Amino acid sequence: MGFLDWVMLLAYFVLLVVIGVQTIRKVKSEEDFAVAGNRIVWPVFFGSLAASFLGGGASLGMAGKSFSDGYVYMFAFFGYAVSFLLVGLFVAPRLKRYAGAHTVGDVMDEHYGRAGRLLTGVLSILLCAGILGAQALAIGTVVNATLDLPQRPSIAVGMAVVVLYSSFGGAWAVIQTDMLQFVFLGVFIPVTLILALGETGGPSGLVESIPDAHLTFGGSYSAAAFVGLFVAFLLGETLVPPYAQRTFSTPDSKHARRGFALTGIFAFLFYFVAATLGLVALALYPDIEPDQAIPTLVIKLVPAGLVGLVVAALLAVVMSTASSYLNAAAVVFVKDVYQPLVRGGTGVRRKLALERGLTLLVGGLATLFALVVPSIVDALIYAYSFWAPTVVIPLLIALLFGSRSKPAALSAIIAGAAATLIWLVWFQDRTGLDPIVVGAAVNLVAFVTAHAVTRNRGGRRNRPRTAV
Amino acid sequence: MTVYSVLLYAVPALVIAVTLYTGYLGFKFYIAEVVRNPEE
Repeated sequence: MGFLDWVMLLAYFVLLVVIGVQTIRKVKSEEDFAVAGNRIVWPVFFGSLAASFLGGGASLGMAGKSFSDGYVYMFAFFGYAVSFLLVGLFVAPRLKRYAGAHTVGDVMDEHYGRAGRLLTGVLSILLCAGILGAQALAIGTVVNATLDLPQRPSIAVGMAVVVLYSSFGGAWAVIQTDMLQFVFLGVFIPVTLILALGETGGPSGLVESIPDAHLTFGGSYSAAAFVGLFVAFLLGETLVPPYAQRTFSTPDSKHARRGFALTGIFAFLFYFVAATLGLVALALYPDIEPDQAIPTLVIKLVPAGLVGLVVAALLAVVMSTASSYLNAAAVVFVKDVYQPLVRGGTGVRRKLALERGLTLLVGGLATLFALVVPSIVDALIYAYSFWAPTVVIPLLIALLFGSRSKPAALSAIIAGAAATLIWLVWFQDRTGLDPIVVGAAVNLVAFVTAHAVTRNRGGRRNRPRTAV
Repeated sequence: MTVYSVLLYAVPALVIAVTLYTGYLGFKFYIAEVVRNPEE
């Protein structure tokens, strides 16, 4: 990397800090810290949600898997985009009916009581901590692979910037920096593809250089494996805490619908770009490791002056996801765990100080785990497998059908978690079927059964009490 | 093959165009909300 590239990379970090500092004055209440005062219009909602949603898995991970498996992995990964499109059109607008809501726990409490909120809150924190730790590790991977710098200092510097702007500017800082990061990832990653295509000799050169199976819909996957993977992706990240919280930051349901659905459409396009980068890497450098696909293209093909911007784009993908999960973890802890357990109200200034302190603490711990004991991050990532099999089905039934059956929700959460754990430990390796699929199916059956058994004893259909 | 050839260039170009337009709208929002009205 030349001098100009280092200047570009440094400028990216300076811009993040400047935006973080500028947004501090916008944060005067818990509502500002959690949902940016509900003032986020759809273009900003779309850009920031896309930046949060498109993480290391959608870029480096996608390119690596298409390098080894072909486009079939992209078609399975489209499950995420379909999920975003469906949630955007039919579910996200309904979240705006809950006046004053900041978290998924607020909705669960409204329908299923305090136990629903607490269970959702604890799982949300574990999920956010796991994803945050994974993104911290990804910062080290990106810097090491593209700049050949040691991982630990890279993780420490990258996460320090994320933690600082997230703790002082809250949602305002996270959303505004997400927008900058969205521009970086949405411009310089596609630019890398266009540059790389020239090296393969254009489309015909690319097609001739890779196995035919890599270009087919089914690739080498069996139909069962493909469907299992697609369903796992379809359900896996549905309304996870940062996405729900970002939806609450919009002024009304129209902005929520438009921004959320657009993110789904954008995801289809971005996945195609990332997957094709993997195929181009296979055509040009067939002997590299799959997860080195994008870093190799950046090192070998991107001209001096652009390298710094492309590395900034790869870091933007990871850092925007990290800051969103960090902000969500702090907000969820205060609203869904601390407040329900503490008697009496908490003052505005105290809540704000608590959220800022928790952002520093959670961010610091995630960085420490990534640096010292990455196995803890690996363990926390298992929380990801439990989100869809526990919270998603009762949440969707509450939002779409207005259910308030507490026994059904709690039965579904416990049954889904147990089924997921059993499948994860004993059956996943033998069958190849993702535990998310099994857990979600058990959750749905348990909900319907418990609802039918208890429907004459208090489980009833209703609209949100706080509807606006 | 022809459709694929078009997609290979059209999709990244579309991603860049959507990103730049969204970034422009986001920048206008940033100026209006954060720079001009920091205390609101």
